Amino acid sequence: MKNASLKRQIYPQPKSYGPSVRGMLMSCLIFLVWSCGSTVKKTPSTQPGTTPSTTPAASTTEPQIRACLIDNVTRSGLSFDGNYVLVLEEAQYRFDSSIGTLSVFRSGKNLVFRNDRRYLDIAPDQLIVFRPLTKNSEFTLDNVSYRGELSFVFDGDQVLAVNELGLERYLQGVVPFEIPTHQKGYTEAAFAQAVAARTYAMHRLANPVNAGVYDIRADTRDQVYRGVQRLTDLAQRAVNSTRGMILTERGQPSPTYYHSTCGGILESDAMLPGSAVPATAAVAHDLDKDEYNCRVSPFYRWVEFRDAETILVNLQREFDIDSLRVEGWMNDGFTMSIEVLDRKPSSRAKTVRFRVEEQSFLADGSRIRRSLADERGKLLPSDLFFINLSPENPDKFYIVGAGNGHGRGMCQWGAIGMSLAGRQYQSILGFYYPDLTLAQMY
Amino acid sequence: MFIKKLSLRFILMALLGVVCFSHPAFAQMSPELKEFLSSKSFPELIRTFEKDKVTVRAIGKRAETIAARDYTIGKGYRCQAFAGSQRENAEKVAADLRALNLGQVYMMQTPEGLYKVQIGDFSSRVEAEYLMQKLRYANIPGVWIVESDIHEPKVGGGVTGTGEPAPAINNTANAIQQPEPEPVELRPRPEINIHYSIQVFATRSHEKALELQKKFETETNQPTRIVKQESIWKVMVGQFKSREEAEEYINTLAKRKFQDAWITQVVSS
Repeated sequence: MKNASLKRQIYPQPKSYGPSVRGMLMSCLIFLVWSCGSTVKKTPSTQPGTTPSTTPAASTTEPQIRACLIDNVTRSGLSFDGNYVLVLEEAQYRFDSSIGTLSVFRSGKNLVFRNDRRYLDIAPDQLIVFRPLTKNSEFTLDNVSYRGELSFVFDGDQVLAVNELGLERYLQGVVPFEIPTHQKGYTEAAFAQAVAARTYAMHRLANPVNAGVYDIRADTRDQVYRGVQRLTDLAQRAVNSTRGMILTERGQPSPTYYHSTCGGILESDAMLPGSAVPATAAVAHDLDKDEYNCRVSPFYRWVEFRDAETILVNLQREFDIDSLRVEGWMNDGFTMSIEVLDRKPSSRAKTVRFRVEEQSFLADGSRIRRSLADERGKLLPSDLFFINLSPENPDKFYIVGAGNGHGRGMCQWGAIGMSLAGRQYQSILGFYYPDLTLAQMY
Repeated sequence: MFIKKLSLRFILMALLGVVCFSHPAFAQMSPELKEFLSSKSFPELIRTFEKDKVTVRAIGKRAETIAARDYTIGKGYRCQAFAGSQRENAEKVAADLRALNLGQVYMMQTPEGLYKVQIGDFSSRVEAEYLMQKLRYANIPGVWIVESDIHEPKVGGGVTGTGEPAPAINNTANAIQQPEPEPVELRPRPEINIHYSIQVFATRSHEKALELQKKFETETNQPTRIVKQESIWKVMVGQFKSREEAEEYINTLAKRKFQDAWITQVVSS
């Protein structure tokens, strides 16, 4: 079905045909009308095979997934390796490596593709889909190479860059960026990661971020996807060996959250936004044979220093503090105190009070890590920390912490620790997702 | 239990000291601290080491700027070489002064818009007079001495910054440009001394000069010395605090037929 539609879109406007093919033409026109309907909806692809399935458990073939690469295109570079075709109302355009790098930028409401070989100024009412003509054709967007289809979708005032491709191929661009895959001992962890990432992607297919445009974001807000930038043997083997395998809860793909390092204590006491996981007070201790699984992680324990000024800048952003007041504090000096008022059962900070002179700011949730970000904006690695003063540097906050990430679901470095200890990936998944069941979906 | 907690706290504090000392950028933990933290469960570490409230005082940019300076603000004297409304002229004078490398040159603008160019930071008027004389020799006339806030080098280079009065220069004028600090050896010496002496004779013969010096030493009660300048030997008599005293003495010399004697100003350290 998809191939048929592809051919018809490549040759959309036949000039003249004999009476013998009139019937076929009619069917083509009917298809085109149906296809135009999808243009109005601004969906880059609405073929039955790629439509997000509400019941993925019932699927028998590998689904397509739409990953949002850029959620607001302003100026990007685009080039091709292999053959791609862009079909517009007036003509079709072929793209390959001879075209070179195109600048992609906004011009008024339009989107422009330009270099010394091509100039396309495309209005928002057109569908912009670069379709690959061969399986291994690649496009490079902002120095990252991907396979599959590339769409630029007008969504309100913004233009989104969306990559649509098969789920398994998508996972090959996820696994090596979500877990180290350069060591043989990490094999079972990579397998577990492939299953967890596939499950999360299937969950997103059923619960797309932006249903009309894309399913999943290509960064840490969902899971990191960087195309074919780092294809590793282990990642490909992990994806291929677990093909179609996901974790289910009552037959449905579960939102399998995972994180870098739990620091020895998993978080399971709160709901994530949009999650169906109920809040419980239980805390899973990640202790396996008297050893914490993730002790091999570089983030198992960490120390950070923060200036009061750096934190004040963060607080100004988070709490919208009047800039004149901040400037006054910055110039004349100020006293800042930090208290962790409340902790979750896992000991992670739940509420933190920042006091600047006489003014208090209460931070909770992700605001805690943002408020304690460093001067370059890098978040505090986790909420599992305590603050002290260094005798050598009494003018700085000395933060001692453990872990990296939210602490929910699978601890990736814990999975690596278990893999190094000889545990199988089914065992790793069973440890971190005790309530879920492995199932073969296709 | 209490002792155990105390000893743990001591260990952590000691290790923090190690990490602070060995890693000024604090990017990494020392291996000892890493091992210590890794050997405990984190909730236990929190229970043991967390402080209820941690307070830090930021001294503020203004105090930081003052602390970062290698000088403090004091009262003293400067030589002013320009005061006018034309910035270009002020810059030209400032450039001329900097080229001489005689001292720190300051160009500033008063709140009324007047540009001033000053040179030097002197705690006494005499030092300023000495520089003024040098400037006159360097063909920069019209220099006068002003009482001013001056930059005094910090003793020992310590950075304190707190409790120091705000720089008065900001109250009266905005400093526009502050050049590189002058070389230390060119700074006027604080123990500088000016006196007046009388040159009674000048000759190419060292023997003759010595003979005359001996004569003056025996006949007067004034200190006498010989100064060589290029190939000339000069016989100098007396060390007077003021020109008036010197003139009084020269009159007595004139009576002794030394009518060519004249007064010279001697600057010594």
